Amino acid sequence: MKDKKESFTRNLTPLQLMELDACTQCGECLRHCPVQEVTGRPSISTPEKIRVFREFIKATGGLKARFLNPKVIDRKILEDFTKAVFECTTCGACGQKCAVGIFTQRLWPYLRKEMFDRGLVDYEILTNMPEAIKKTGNPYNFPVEERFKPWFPEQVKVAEKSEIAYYAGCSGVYGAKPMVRGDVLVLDAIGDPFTMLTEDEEVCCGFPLFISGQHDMLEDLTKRLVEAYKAKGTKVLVCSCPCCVNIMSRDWPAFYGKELPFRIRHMTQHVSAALKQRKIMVKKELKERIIYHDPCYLSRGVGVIEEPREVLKAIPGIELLEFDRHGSESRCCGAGGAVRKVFNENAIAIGRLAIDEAVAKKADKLILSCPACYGKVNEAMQDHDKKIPIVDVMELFAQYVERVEP
Amino acid sequence: MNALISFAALVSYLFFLVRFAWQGLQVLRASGYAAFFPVFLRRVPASVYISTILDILFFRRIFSSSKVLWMGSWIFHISLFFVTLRHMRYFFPSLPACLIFLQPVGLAAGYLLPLSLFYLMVLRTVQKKDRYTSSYNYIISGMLLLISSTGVAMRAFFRPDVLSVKQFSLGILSLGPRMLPDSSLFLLHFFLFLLLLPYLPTHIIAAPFVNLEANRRIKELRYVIHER
Repeated sequence: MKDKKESFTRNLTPLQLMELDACTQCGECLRHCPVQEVTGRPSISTPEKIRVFREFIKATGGLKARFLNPKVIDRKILEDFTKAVFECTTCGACGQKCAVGIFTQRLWPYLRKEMFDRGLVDYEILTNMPEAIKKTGNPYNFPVEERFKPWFPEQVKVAEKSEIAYYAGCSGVYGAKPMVRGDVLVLDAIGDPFTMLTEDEEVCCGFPLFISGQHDMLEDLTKRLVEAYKAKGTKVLVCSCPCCVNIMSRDWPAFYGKELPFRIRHMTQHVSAALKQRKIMVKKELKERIIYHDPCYLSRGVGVIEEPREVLKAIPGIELLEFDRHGSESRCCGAGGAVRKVFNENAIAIGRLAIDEAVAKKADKLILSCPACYGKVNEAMQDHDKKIPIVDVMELFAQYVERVEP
Repeated sequence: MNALISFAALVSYLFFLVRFAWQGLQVLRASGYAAFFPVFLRRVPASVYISTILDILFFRRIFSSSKVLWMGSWIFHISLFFVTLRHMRYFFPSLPACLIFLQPVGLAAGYLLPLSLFYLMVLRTVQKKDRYTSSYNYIISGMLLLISSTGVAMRAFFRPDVLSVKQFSLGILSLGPRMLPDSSLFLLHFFLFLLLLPYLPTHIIAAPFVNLEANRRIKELRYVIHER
């Protein structure tokens, strides 16, 4: 553990320090927080966490602490804060509705990092993560050889080198196989050659480490992946996992130290463009009411809101419904925050809110586009009184897409 | 007594200034001083500045979230602003023309201020579900309610000698204590203000910068992954 008296501001940017100060404690964000919705505990709410962290800053670096003695913060208070900051799903809805516009989706990982640096985090699922990634390339410690084999469609050919590369992502390949299988089938239907790294080369993108506040390995992971794709001649890296896409586009350039040698595209962007370029089409009808759930790190995170809808609407006969909160204001599915297994009860309850709303709106299918959402919402439906088929956007689209022969 | 009150006022002013300056220093230190300014001086489109100004003037973000809260918050802040401007008459030997012009607005705002505060406090109490209760907010709001209510009482019922109030205020600023106005209500009003001043929330300074950055972020969100 680092020096307990060290300033609590060391991991924060100047802007984040101002954000902490800017919170007016109005409490409006509570109405949009999914964790509040299922727990009703303001003690773990955004303004309270910000207030407590401000107290930590004051205790170690405030005026009194500078000129008199820094206060020793009670370990119990530190532990309670740590629990509160990890119980958050980091969906960022509070920041979206914040009266002054605090970027909470970005603030929480840095507050988590501070607690990690102080040795206050003991969730094994997180503390084992760096070792698991070192050993197996994925944060879940699943065998490397199972990364692609169980789901990769045999008929699909992957180019050795190509300007288009596909990154499947750990959560998809181990936890949402129909989703990544759908991605590859659709990529194949588009017809442009695409490449992939081998199962040894395709390691974690770093997102779970970033979000949980363990930033030591991020530079190494980023450089490893970027160099590997560069060697394959990649100009466009396609990925369907919102979390991977988020860290790739927002943070990889910083960890890589310069601009990436390729563009990052979400799978739905790539497919939407292919539809517009008439490389693919859909003839077969699907006469169903479907409801699409926006993943937080895709909609609020990188602004991909229209493309998933464009892809779904390309299927004739579909009636696309919307959640009350959708687009950049969508409600988390409960799976966010990297500790969904620790706070499983919250995650399940939040997931059920999405199921209940989809059922109440009489949707025939609930469409997701995130492997974490896919796993958790499916789990939330087990033993739940309401049922609805859950399908990934590419899993569905792959069943209908046809290549347009030139 | 006069000297003591004047001294207390200077201490309160000093605490207020040091606290705000310290807060600024913390941000500068975190950025290694030199790195701070480029963050805010980088090229920001005019539309982002316009959005920020509109957000600050009309509290648009609160409006989009809760109309009920917006009404109280906006009236409170705008009233506080005009009441503060009206009070400037006690700190200028001769009042600038623009402040003379705003005096009637300040007077009306003086009546609205306690009403809006009372409304906000009731709102927080009534809408307890899903509401965050900040004891700091309650204390600050409570003190402001008392200060503004005593202000209204002085205007409507127990008027102190305005000239002696002005002389007393100017005396504190020029470090030459003058006679306290002969009004216990004024004394209470002024004493509460001195208590409040060092505890005023520093978000007054931070929030506009954060809001500017939020508007820039919203505008740029489209280009995180999409081509321009």
